[in-house]
Amino acid sequence: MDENVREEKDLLKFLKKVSIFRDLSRSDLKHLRQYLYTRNYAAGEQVFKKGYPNVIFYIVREGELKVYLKQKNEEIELNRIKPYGQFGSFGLFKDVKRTASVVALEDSVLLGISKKDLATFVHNFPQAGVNILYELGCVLSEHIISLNERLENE
Amino acid sequence: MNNTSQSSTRSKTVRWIIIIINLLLAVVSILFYKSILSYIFASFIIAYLIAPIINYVERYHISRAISILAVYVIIGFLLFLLFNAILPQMIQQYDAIQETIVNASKEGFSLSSLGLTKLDNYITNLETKFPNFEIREQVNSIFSTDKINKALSQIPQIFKGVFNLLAFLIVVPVVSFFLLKDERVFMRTIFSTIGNRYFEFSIHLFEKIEESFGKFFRALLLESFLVALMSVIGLLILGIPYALILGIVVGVANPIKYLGPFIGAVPTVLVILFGPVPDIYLLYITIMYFIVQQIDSLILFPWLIGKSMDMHPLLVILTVIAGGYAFGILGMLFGVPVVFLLKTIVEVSQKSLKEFEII
Repeated sequence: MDENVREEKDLLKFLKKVSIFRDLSRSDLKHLRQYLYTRNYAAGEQVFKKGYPNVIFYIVREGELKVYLKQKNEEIELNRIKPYGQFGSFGLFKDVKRTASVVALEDSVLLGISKKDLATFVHNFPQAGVNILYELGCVLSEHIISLNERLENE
Repeated sequence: MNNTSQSSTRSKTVRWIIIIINLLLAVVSILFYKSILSYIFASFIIAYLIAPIINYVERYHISRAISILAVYVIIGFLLFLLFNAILPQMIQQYDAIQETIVNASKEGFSLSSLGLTKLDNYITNLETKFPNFEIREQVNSIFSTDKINKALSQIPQIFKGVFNLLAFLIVVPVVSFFLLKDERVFMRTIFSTIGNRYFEFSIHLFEKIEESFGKFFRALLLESFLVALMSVIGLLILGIPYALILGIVVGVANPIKYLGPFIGAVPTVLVILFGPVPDIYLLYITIMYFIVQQIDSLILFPWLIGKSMDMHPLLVILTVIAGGYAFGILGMLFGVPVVFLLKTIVEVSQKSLKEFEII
C-alpha cells in the first residue's frame, strides 16, 4: 500500500514536469491521472504501425523510442523520443490513421491516454484543457519549424 | 539452437497451462457468483445510468464518493415520495381483498363473492352463446381451495423472496457505488491485463462499442420515459385510477418491439374491467394508447433511435419471441438490446481486427 502511494506521488511529480501538463494544478493532474494507462515495452517491441487507427496518445516516462517510416524496404528514421517527450498527438486534432510507425529502442515505460478520454478531460476541465491544448500547439509548431529548417538546409 | 527451441516449447506449454487455469477460474467464479449475477447485472445498469451525473459533477472538483452519495439520497427521497403515494392505496386494496376472501370462505368461493361481478356477468353471457364450453367450472377451479392451500404452503417461499429483495436492495447500491467511484481504476486494471499487441485494439473496440450501444441504450431509455409520460398524462386526463403506475408499466413494456404496447396496456384494461370506471373507457384508452403509439413510432423512434439500430424488423420480432420463450418477460425486454450489442461487437471487432493487422 505504501509503495502504491509513493508510486502515485512519483507519477504526479513526473506529470508536472511534462511540458504540456506543466500549467495544470495538482487537483487537475490527479483527475488526469485517472485516465492514464501505464504500459511497459521491451526493447524492439512495436508500439504501433503506420495506418493503424489513432487511438492513444503517449508520453514517454522511461526509455527511448524511434519514429520511422518504411519505404520500399528502406527505413527512414524521423525522430527519437526520450523521457518527457510525447507522440501520437495528430490524432487528437484530426481523424487520421497513424502517420508513422513507432518501435521501442530500449525497455521503455509509456503513459497512454485514449484520444476520447483526453477529449472528455478537456471538456470536463476546460481551464486545464486550454493549457494542455495551448502547450500541444507549441510543441506542434516547434515540430513544423524544425522541419522547415531541415528542408531549407537540404 | 536446440536449447532455444526446447525453451520455446516449454514457454508455449506454460502459456497453455495459464490459459486453461484462467478459463477454469472464470468458470468456477461464474458458478460461485451465479446466484448474484443478476444483482451485478442490475448494478452495472444503475451505475451506467448514474455515471453521466457523477462525471458532470466531477467538473466542480467534488469527490465522486460524495456526489454518488448525494445522488443516492435524492433517489431515495424520490422513492420514498413515490411509495408514500402508492403504499396507502396498496394497503387499502390489500385490506379489501382480504375482506372478500374472508367473506367468500364463509360462503364458499364463486366469482360473484370475489366481487368480480362484471366477469361473472360476462361469463354468463358467453355460456348462453356457447353452451358446450364449461367456462364457469374452469374459472372457479382457479379459485379452488386446493389452490389456496398450495398458495399458503408457499409462505416460506415468500420469506425467501423478502430475503432476496433485502439482499438486492443492499447489494445493488453497494456494488453500483464502487463501480461508479472506482470506474477508472477498474478500467485501468482490466486493460492492464491485455498485452501490448492488443492494447490499442481493445481500447478502440471498447470505445466503439460503448459509443454505438450507449447511444442506442440511452435513446431507448429516453423513448420509454417519454412514452410513459404521455401515457400518464393521457390516463390522468381520462381520470383512470392509478394513472402513474399504469403509465409507467406502458413505458417499461414499450422497448419490447411490436408486442410491448399490447403487454403494457393489459393492466389498464384490467383496472377498467374490474374497477369503478365504466367499460366505455376501454374505447377511450384504446384511442389514447393508439395516439401515443403513433407519436412513438412516427416521431420518437425515428428521431431518437432511427438508424442507430440497424436491425431488420424480422430479426427484431424473432428476437422478441425467442427471448420470451427463453427468459419470459425479461427476455422480451432485453432480447433486442442484447442481440444488438452482440451484433455491434461482431461488426466492430471484424473491422478493427483488420485495421490493426491482427487478422
